[in-house]
This record gives sequence, structure tokens and C-alpha cells, in this order.
Amino acid sequence: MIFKKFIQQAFLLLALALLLIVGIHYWWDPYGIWQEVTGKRIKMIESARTTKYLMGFNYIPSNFNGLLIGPSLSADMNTQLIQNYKIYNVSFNGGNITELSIVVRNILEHDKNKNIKFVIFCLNTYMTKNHGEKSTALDPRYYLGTLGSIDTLGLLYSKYKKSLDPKGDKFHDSTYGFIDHDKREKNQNSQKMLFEKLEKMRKGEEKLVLDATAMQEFKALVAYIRGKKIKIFAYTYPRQYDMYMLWKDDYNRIYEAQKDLFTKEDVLFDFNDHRFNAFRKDYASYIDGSHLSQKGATIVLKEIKKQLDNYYGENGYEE
Amino acid sequence: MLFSSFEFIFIFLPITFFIYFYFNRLKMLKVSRLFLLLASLFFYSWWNVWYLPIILLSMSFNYLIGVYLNKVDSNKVVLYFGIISNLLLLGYFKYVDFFLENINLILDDDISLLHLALPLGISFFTFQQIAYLVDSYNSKTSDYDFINYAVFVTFFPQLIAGPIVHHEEMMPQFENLKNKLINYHNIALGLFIFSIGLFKKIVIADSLSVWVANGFDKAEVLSFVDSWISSLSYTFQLYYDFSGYTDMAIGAALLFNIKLPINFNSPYKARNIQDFWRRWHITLSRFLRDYIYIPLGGNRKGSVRTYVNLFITFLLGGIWHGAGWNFIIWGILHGVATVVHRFFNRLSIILPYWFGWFLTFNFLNISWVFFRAKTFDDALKVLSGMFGFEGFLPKHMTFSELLASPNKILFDFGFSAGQSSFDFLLTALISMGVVFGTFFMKNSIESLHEFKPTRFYLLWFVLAMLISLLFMNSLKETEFLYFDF
Repeated sequence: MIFKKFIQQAFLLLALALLLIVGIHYWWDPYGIWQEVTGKRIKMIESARTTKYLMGFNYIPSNFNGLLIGPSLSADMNTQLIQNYKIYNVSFNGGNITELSIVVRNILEHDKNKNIKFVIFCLNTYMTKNHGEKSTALDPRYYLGTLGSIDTLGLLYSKYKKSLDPKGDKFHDSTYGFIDHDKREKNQNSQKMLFEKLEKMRKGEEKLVLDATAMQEFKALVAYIRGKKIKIFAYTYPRQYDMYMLWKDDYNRIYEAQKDLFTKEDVLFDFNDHRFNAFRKDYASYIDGSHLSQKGATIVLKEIKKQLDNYYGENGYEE
Repeated sequence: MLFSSFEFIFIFLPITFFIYFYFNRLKMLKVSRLFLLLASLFFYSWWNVWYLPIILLSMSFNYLIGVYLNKVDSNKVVLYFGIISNLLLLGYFKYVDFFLENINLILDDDISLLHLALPLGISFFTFQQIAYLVDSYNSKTSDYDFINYAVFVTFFPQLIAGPIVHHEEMMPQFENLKNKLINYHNIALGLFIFSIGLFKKIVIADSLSVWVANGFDKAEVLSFVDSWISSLSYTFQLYYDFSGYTDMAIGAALLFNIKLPINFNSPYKARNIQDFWRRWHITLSRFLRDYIYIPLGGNRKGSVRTYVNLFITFLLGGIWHGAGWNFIIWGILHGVATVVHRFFNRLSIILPYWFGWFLTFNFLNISWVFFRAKTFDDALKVLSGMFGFEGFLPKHMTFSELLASPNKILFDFGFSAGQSSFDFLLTALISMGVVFGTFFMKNSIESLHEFKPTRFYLLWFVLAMLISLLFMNSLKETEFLYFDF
């Protein structure tokens, strides 16, 4: 082989191999970015943060008309169960307002057909505890990475591993963004974990903090959503009763600060009022003293549906 | 613009290549040279356009001094003026804060630091030009054209992190008319070694960097296992990063028919410290030998003076690498090791190959800790783990847990839970590849010499590029380590 031919063949082969890889990824499209995905249902495979961010480029705005926003506390809400509405749950573990804002803004920026009509905030203390991105999971470079990268190879590997053990997959029913914490925490003793947490709180090992920058970012996000003429719903997260009572003043201080961001036009409802005491006193409503079990989540989902119906009517949101 | 970036590989390099040879084809040689200079300056300014006046000023100043020294016989005052000016420029940007910090410490004062951004490649182009001045003084240079001189200093493949080129080996190449023609042989060689360099940098060095950063910068305490993983990762990261960069530089230069000097020759196969410095950053060793060690007297003034000269040379080598006590300690360690080796050599004590290699490699691994650690305390943290003062395993892990699930150790090193098994698989593959590639395979320059345009090399090129591009398109931080020096 002469050198000129070697160079020509090398470039040709490389170009073909690259085209093949890009083509395969385009066809696979695990985040619903590149193809027409209206009406399709795509499950998450790995890394909820990155996945929900990437799905925001096309899949979520093409298929849903509502968003549920929060950290892990709301990530285990299966919004698919709220009939007559298509609500994507963009919550993810450890999500603070900076990260959630990136994901939500990305979805709304790519919502060219204005499909998203409402958002539901899960008000809680974690979201405004700190600010700033906690990892590189929301880096825009992931976007082109979906056409072929080591990250997608890792995704493929995870998919293969999950196919060997589908029962342990917390994303088994995640086309609406639901993360099944019950899968992850199935062997936990909820009551024991709650008591441990309460003990820590009594000793002052855990503190409730409200970060001023996070609140500014929260305010900016609410204003941004309002600017898009999107209806806002917000609910205070149902804290386990004993925990709430122990730290009532601190919880209320934070919840009140968060509620102040909303106006009369928004729909606010509170899960920490007396109507939900029985539910919050029931240890079975939680899996670890903080996160809701599926039993607890069902009650919250029902209330969300009720509030949506109050606004949109019993037939739900009409296209 | 990094060599390992899409903009360099797919935009800057091909455009520069085609326009350069297009002008050459039209026999517009001066224009093509000027274009190469402008392209190199554009490449340099990509990071920060404010660096541009510094290199232009430095180049013009040294060119004028060189021309003067070349014309006038033995004017030491002008030579010293030239050298001191270069060192002052380097010192101002690189060492002034270090100097002020120590003044503050000694005098218990609070002089404000300048926090200057270090212009890229300043250590490299300063050394290159000091060599030019010294050689001009010794009448070893010719009357170079300014554009040629400027291309010699700024030629983009070697501008940022070397190899430290010598005017004697570069100027004739820029002036050779044969080099103005497209040479498919050189292009094939260039592409081949570029692909090796890219693979070394992106796939190996950048993968190891996660372990290094977590071990050196993030962890508060490192166990024996953690600290050895961290230090060995850095030892290999540095080699694959810097030699990968050099391979890419050699490859990119070959596209333009310019042969850059070899900078690495399997340094971790060295059997003693002297052998190591003949294999590691060869062009720096060459510079230190020719412009520091030999002018100090080399080995011509008795054994004690030889030891002193060696020690001073390595101490200055350490200081050249960075402004900080860690670099000084690193230089001292290498200086002492070289003196000890020379002393043993005089006594005709030669260690068996494997024992010599083992001692050398471990010495290097330990001394790199000072090279990498951001503070002296960080270095002590890693060393204390390496010498077993913090227990064998991480405190939260038992030996049986580690055996049952070795990827648990990855959590200490920054891998996310979800991806851990894939990352572990990848890291295990890369680690095996690193050990095999470093100690048992031919190095990139040896492979380059054996290169033939066969299917084997075709496949190697395509696979190396393909895998590297997949890694490049992933979310990995990438920065060449030697840019800091």
C-alpha cells in the first residue's frame, strides 16, 4: 500500500466508522432527542439527573403538558397515575434549585409548541438548602455525546445489566420520570430510620438551612415560568408528623419564605395541615422517615389531581 | 485550543495544512511562512488574546539581541542583558507571587500578591530563546530572517509545551525547499503518531485524572491502598499526558514536513535516575545539560564540583517546573538521587537490572507526589498513606468487602454509583493497558520507526482515532498538565 492510498483509506474508514456510530445512536436515541417522539414512551436507564436534562430537549416537551419539580422527596411520585393529565416528574435525588432550574428551563426553552401548560412545585427544605451545581451531570456537552460517546457505551452496559436483573430496577416504570424508591429501600425499617433521624435532630446534628442565593434563584425560576404564561401549582411536602412537630418553627419559617414567592394566581396547598395528620402519623406512609412509600405517594397524588381538577375541571387538561 | 479538541482536529489543523501547502504550491513561499506564523499566533491567542503582545515582544527583543550578538564579537554585557531580561520576564509572571509569599512569611508582612495569569508556554519559549542568544554569542547562529525566526519560536505544534526545540535543528527545516511540498510519507507518519498521542492523552491520562484529583485534592485521609492508587495514577497520568501531547506535537509537525526532536523514550523502563533523565523530557535535559550543567563546569572540575553542579542543575530544573516549595523539594530529591547514583557509579557498584528498575520507579513515584500535590500538607497526606500510617484499607471498608466488590473502592475516587460497574470495567481495562503499554510494549517513537502503510497500521489508526473521539465526546475534563509549567 502506498502512503497516499493509506491516507485515503484511513480517512474513508474513519469517516464510515463515525457515520455508523452516529447512525446507530441516532436510531437508538435513548433520550428521545433526535427522532420524532410524540406519543412514544421512553424509560430512563441510568442517572436521573442527566437523563431528565437530556429528555428536556425533545421527549418531555413533545409528550407532556405538566411538570412536577422537586428533589428525591417528589421523585418517587408516579405521575402516570394522575389520570387525564400528562405530567412528567422532573424531580431527582439531591436536586437543589440551581439544578432543577437548569432542567426546567431547558424543557421550556425547547417547548416550541407550548405543550407545557402547568408546573407543580414540591416545596421542601432541600431545594433551597444550598445552591450551585453538585456535579457535571447537567453539562450541555452531554447533548452531542448522545450521538456516540463513552457515556452512551456505559448506558448500554447498564441496560444490559438491568436486563439480567429487571426486578431491582428503580426506573422500571419511568416513562413519566418516576423513580421507584421502594425498590431501592425495600429492606429498610422505616420506623427505625425515622427514630434515628429524630435522635440526630434532637442532638442538633442536622440543621434546617435556608440559602439566600438559592431563594433568589427560586424567585427567578418562578418569574421565568410565570413569564411563559404557565400555570403554577405548589404544595408543601408532607413531613412525617413527629419530625414536623420537632422542628415546626424551622419548617414553617422555610415554607413561608418559599410560599412568599407565589401569588394569588398560583394554586398553593399544604400537606402539613391537620387534614393530613393521620396520613403523616402513619409510619407506613414513609420508607425512611422522609421519603414517601407508594402508599403515602398515592394520597399525595390524589390530592394533586383534586387540585388540578379544581382548576381544569374533572376531564383534566384539554389540548 | 487543545490538540485533543474537536476544533483543533477538525478545523484548525486541516485548514492550516491546506492553506499552507496551497501557498507553497503557488510558490508563494514567503506568504506561506507568514501564514504559518499567523496561524500559530492565532493558535496561541485562542486561550487568551492578552498573551499575544508578550510573545511578540519577547520574540522581537530576542531576535534583535541575537542579530546584534551575531554581528559583534564577544559582547558579554549584551548577552547577559538578553538572558537577564528573559529571566526577569519569566520571573515576573511565574515567580513573583511565590517570592512575595515567602517575604510575607519571613517578615510577617502582608504585601499583596499580584495573582498574574501565567502566559502559556512562557517557560518553553523563554528557554528556547535563551539558547538562541547563547548560541548567537558563540557565533553558532546564522543571519536568520525574522519571519523564519518567529516561526521557529511560535510553530504551533511545539509552542505550548515543547519539545524544547533548538534553532539548529529547526531553522534548516523551515528553509528547506523540499519541505514545502506535500509529503504523503510524512503525513501518514504524522497521522499515525498523532493518533497514538491522542489515545494516550484522552483515553489513558484523562481517565486516570479522576483518581488523581480525588486522591490528591479531595480526600482528607488516604489509606495505604488509596494513596498508592492515587500516586501510581499520577505517575502514569503525567507520563501519558505529556508524552501523548508530545506525540501529537510530533505528528502535527510532520504534516508540515517538520521533524521535532524526541522527548520521551520509555522513561519508566529506566534502571537508574541518570537513565531516567535520558529518557524523560529529553529536550529539557538537553537544555539543562548544555546551558546550565556544562557552563557550570560539568564534570571537568573534580568530583565534588561535579556533584555540586549536578545538584544545582536539578534544583534549577525543579524551580523551572513551578513556583512552589514542592517543586524545589522535587528538584532537590532528583538532585540528591543523581549525586548518589553518580557516587555509586564511581565505586563501580551496579545494581541488578530488576532491582535498579524497582528502586528507580518507586523513587520516581514518591517524588512525583511533591510534583503533583498543591500544598506541602497534601504531599504529606499522600506520603503518610503510602507509608502505612493511615491503615491499609479505607476506614469504612473491610478486606472481605473489598474482595467481594472491588468496585467499592471507586466510590472513594469519585465514580457515581450508577455507572460504577462500567467505570470499574473501563478502569480495569485501562489500568491493565497502562501497565502493559508502559513496561512491555514499544513506545510510540519505536512504533513510528516501524510504521508501514499496511492494513495493520490502518486498523490501528482508525481504532485509536475512533476510541479517542468517543472519549472526547464524553464528559471528561481535559487539560494538558505541562501547560502549567
